[in-house]
Amino acid sequence: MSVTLEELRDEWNDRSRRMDERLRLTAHVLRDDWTQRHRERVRAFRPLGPFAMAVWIATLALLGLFMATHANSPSLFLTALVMDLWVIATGVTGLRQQGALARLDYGRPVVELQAEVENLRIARIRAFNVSFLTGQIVWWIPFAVVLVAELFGVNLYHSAQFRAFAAWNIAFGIAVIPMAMWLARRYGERLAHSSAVRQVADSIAGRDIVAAREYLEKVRRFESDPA
Amino acid sequence: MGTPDEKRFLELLAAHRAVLHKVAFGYCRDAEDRRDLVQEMAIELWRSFPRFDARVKFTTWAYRVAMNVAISHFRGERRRIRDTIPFDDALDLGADDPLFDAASDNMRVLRGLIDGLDELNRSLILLYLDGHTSEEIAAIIGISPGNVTTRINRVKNELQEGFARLDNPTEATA
Repeated sequence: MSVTLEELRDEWNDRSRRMDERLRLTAHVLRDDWTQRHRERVRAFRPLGPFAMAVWIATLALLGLFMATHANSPSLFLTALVMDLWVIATGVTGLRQQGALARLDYGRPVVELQAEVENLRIARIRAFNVSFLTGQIVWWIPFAVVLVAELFGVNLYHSAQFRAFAAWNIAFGIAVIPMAMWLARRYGERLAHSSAVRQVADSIAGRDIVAAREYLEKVRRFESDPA
Repeated sequence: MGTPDEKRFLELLAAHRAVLHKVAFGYCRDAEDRRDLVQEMAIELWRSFPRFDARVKFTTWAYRVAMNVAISHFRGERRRIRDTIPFDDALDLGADDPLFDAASDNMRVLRGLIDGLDELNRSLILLYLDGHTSEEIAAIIGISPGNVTTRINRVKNELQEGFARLDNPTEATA
């Protein structure tokens, strides 16, 4: 059996015509309350929800309050400041990315939009990696120091044992960054039984970025005139 | 009652809904997924409608939105709308399945051809099948008309080579 693309096009057009006729027989105008009923749902479809925003603002407020209360204790103040800067940096990065996603104009030509989506994806993966790997340092010792000071009024830095413990932990935390990347590259596929774990492992290992770059290159090749 | 813009949008959508079904056919095999995808396209068209530039034909714009959504869906970039919109409330855009799922030889060949293409070439071939000129395809996809012609010829040649291999399997393996 052999058929040309033109013959397939004829068959496609015939079916398209019949579909047009069938669709014309159904409602001429769509239900005009549809947009109203879905306005809220479309808003909720945006990546940044009000809950995430509320958590971010509350965290900033609590850390700000803590810093104001402990302004005369440099060790506690600086610890909270490090956390505050981390929260601000990750929050602002997230907001900027989500703003860029919300501004994506799907009415642009396919190759332009696809390239932009992929560039945003690369930026998102990079931001996730940085916040994930630095977060495991910020949200361990500094968080414990701030929490204990706030709940029990105790400055853990006054304990020599804790200082040694903290120094080892922070050093270990920094060492974990390249180790986590190596482990994700080496064993990510074997360890990841769930898609969520797989995604994190792929992201840390840089596989997602490689795939995104390859797709971006494919879009560029498609855009350029073939030889 | 909706605003005048909403009413205008719904009228335009009603007149162009076949576009959504045809693009969805190119990117989804499963009928239920296809229905999801058509809903996603309708939502994105509505969300993007305030940015619609009337200097561009509505059909061109609708194809761009539908194809961009379909490609993002195909690549797993977008959240599944099934999780956010119950089917009872879904926009009734009519069913394409009996027509496009029909089991004719040509439709099987067409399905095979489309399945063998990547997401970008699919958009190209769908527009070609729909009878668009190279210039129209170029405006929707964002490549030059010459590029469109070359790529379509390449797909045609691949199709013919595929048939030649099927007709003469011994030559193909020799």
